[in-house]
Amino acid sequence: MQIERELLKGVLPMAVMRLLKRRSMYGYELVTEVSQRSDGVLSLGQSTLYPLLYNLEAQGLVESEWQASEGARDRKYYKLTDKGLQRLERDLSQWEALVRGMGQLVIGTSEGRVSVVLP
Amino acid sequence: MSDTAPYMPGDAFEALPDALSEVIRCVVRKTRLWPSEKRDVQAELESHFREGLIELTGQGMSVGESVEALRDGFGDPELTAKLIRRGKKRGRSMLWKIVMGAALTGLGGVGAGAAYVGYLWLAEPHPTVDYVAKINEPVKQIAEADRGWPIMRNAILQMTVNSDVDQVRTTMPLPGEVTWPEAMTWVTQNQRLIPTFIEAANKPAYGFIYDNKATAEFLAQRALARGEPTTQHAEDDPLAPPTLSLLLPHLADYRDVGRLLVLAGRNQFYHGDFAAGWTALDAVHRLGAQLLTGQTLIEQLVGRAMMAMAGQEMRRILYDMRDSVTPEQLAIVGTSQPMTMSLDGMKPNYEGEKLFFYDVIQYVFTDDGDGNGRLIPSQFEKIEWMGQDEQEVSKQSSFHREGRYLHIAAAHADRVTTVDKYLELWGKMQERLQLPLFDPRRAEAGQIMDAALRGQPLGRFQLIKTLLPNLSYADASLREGVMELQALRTIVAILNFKQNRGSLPTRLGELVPVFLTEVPTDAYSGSELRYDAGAAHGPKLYSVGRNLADDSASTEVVESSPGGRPTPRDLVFWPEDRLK
Repeated sequence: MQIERELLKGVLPMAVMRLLKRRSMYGYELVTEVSQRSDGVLSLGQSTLYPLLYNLEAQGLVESEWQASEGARDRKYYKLTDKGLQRLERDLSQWEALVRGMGQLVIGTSEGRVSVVLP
Repeated sequence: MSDTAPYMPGDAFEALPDALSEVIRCVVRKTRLWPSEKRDVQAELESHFREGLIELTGQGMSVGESVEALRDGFGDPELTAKLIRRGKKRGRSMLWKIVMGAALTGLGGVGAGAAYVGYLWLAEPHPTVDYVAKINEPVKQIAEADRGWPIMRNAILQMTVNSDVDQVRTTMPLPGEVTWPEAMTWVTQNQRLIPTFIEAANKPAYGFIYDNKATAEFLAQRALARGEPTTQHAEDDPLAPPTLSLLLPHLADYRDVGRLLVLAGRNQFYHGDFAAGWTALDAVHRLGAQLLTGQTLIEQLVGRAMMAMAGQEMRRILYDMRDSVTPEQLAIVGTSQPMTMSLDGMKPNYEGEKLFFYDVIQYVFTDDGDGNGRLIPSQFEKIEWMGQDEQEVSKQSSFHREGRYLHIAAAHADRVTTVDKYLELWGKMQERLQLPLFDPRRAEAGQIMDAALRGQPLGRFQLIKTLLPNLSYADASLREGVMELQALRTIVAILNFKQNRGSLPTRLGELVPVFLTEVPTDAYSGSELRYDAGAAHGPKLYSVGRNLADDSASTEVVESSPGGRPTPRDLVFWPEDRLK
């Protein structure tokens, strides 16, 4: 399902930070993880990912580090900072409130809320 | 590496397929980032594509298909580069952001400033009033037959001025002195013109019409007659106020005619022809009085100087003849202009100055159609330069002294505010000039502009500062002129008293009412003119002068105030020294 770009704008940083909360990841890994874990709904274009990561890094929400991995390939790993963690918690609580509100509005009951907490 | 074999980790050190390398090159180039940032982006994208190739070929796709999938999935390289650039720049150091911010602000400021300066400089005035015609209005009402200038003009063109005249002008010799022969040569060369000069002087009005074209013709004819090179006058700048470039070359000629007539008079007195001598001096006085009715302040001051020249010589003659003058001679004196003219005529006429101001305003400001407008600095610059030597301007002009920015600041003055302020300051100055010469508050007249500029934004009234004349000197000079006329009349009264009573009066009060209607007041003290009949070398009549102190008729020249104009301690009318 193709999601409107404007709707995705605020969600993708949150999704990336949510993934990085679990562990450090490199760019390609993030692309595939976001796509798989959102059932392809949040398909992250490669051209979108790196600017997004650089923006998060500029805001001090994530930090990066080059690491050698199997086969001595270099990968740039991103990890969430403390500041990023605080922001993520704030964003998630806002997101939940939004989903709850939208659920009531669209389905008529807060029971219909959708969990956005990724496994 | 075959197209069907999986892309293995060991291949990571091999070059990426061209299609992907091209995408990376394209993105990296278009980011326009710093080299270190580009290297980082390139390494990350290479890493990204390698991971992709390994993953996709591992899933069974051929290398070609994987490359295609990765390239297609990457999106628009141009947009990616733009977004990467934005993200990377956001991550740059605070110092870089401050420096860039300042640089961009500076550049923006310079650009805006340049645009503003262009906007100011490129404006043009739209003058609507012919102020030269307005200045000429009163002159044109004078009947042709009553004008002295046309007669003077023809006589001046015939006047001989040889190389010796410079020396004569400087020394103004008395009979027997070294340069007297040269002086008499000059008088003789122009003797035939003297009746014409006297005829012009006896006309009721001056009658000079302000017209640069006619004046340029006069200059050309004069140069031709004297064998001098003709001065080429540049075409008038159509955007320069014509009132400010009015040519008045004849003022120097008038002064020469004055000197010539004084020397001719001296010669006639020397040969015993009192009537002819006095007539010559009276003519100098009359020519001066004509110039005093001119529309420009400079003409009025030259006129005042000529009247002073005549009066000084008259007082000297009467002092020398104080024991021998006859009733007939005193009768001749009594009918001459200094004895009969109204003292009210000795007042400055500032109307021309105001017309010049209004003319400048219409050439220096734009016209919004509602009587307002903004100042055009390039036009303002012309006003400051007009009629001045370039080097002098460099030294003196506020434009050069205080810098060009002053003109930008001055541009904040609008037309209406400028005119209002000028008239307000003019009024204040006139108020102060009504005060007696000895009133200390009168000095404020010369400081009106400085006081107005204090506390004002820089350049706000710069134009007014340039245009508002300091009238203190002109006003004081004309008041001195009144006093000189009163002194001459008092001297004639003293001589008439002596003729009738056989001795000099001991005090001036004795002259009233038979010989004088009232004792003249010293403009510098407010009390009677100083008179000493019993002085060792003859009677003395004087004013305390600009230093306001009685220095016993001392003519020593001193500065009336620190840095002020040099002036004699006392203004001594009798005994009058020779022409200075």
